[in-house]
Amino acid sequence: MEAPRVKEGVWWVGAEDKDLRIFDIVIPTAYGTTYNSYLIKGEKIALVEGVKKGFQEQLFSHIKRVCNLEDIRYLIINHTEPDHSGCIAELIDLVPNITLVYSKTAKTFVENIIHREADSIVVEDDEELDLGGKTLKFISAPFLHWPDTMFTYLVEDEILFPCDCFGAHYCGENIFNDQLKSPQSAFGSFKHYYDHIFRPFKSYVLRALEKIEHLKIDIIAPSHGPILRTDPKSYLEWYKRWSEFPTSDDKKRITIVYVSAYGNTQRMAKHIANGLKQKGVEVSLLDATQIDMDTIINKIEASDGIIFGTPTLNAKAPKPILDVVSNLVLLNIRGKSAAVFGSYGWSGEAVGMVEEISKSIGFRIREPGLKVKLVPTAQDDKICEEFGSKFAESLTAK
Amino acid sequence: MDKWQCQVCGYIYDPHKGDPENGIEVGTSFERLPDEWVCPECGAAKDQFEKI
Repeated sequence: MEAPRVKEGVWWVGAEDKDLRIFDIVIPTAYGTTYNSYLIKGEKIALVEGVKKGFQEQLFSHIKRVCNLEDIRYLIINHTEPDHSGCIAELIDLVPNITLVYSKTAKTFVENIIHREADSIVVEDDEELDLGGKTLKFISAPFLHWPDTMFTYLVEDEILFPCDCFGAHYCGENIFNDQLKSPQSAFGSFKHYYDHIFRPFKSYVLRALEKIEHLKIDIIAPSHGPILRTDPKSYLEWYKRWSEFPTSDDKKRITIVYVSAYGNTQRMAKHIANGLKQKGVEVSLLDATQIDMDTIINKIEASDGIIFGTPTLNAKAPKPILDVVSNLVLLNIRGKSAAVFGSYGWSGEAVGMVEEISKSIGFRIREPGLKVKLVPTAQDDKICEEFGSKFAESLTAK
Repeated sequence: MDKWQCQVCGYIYDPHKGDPENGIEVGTSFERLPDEWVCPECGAAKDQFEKI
């Protein structure tokens, strides 16, 4: 790709990573990605975002079609993740007079990334930077998707630079959304990106959308994937729709996720479910070896809490249970309630293991772990029911 | 009782509000928060907070 002009005085100067198939360890990227960087030329020149280490040659060669590297006065850092900040150290070495512009939180992160001195300006919400003919306005937008994030808005041209927000891991033949040969694949990537990166931060998405509601937005220029210059507001609408789900009501919902080799942990699960239902809780009872992970995660997202049912295999919790825990990376579970139960043979470490993990990732443990030796009795069934009832009651307690 | 601010994300712990979602009652001073209490917004530990 060349360095296409986005508008008068604004160019895309980023890098393509066509062959990338896994992003950030766990995200499949069938269509590669781009590291979008933009040059804005007023009387002074600003660069919005760097690129990942290893891709700076593309960035520098694209910039040089427009200006000399040393002419760049400001580097706007909306977000410090290394897929955008990886080349900053080298850029500072080449352009020692460059001034970094970022949020207060970004400053501390950048110091631990670049390990060198640089001039900088910390900007707050609503602050402006005058480039002479081009005015940049900064909008504080934390947790989209790190604590450091902000948006930059180019006032005269009505272009929003939201960094990762509204992005997609998609390297098309063209950079603009109206010139893509496979718009459906690109949209699939746009949703996939939201699901993997922004799903845990729905409340922050809604807050930011409210903040930018009044802005005239002609173009959304994100840090990955297509530049959204046709119908940009529709992409805001998609984020709003996805972030408003699930809607909340007064009903209490609990998901019980379990596995069971011989039906013993399952029997406990059913009686715990009965105890919950007796107190008016809506229960999803899910065998993790039978129900697909998407359904499990969707149910947990819509629940006030989760109860794990785990037997012990060689002193540890079995893989399907730990897979569910791994997939909680997609959600914000802080403040949700949890408890753990399971049948065991002679040692039963798995219940404690899952309880410790749950506590460490932010669940509130409402009841201590419940273990039953091998086959439950009628008495154990009653204990399980009480466990469920007490858990239900704890949901309304402080 | 003083308010304390998370230096990572800016969240302010106000003892007059507590952190009920995470089991901290109204009126709990920052000093009396358990050692393992973390910022409810970003997960930063107590040692990343400063008095304001």
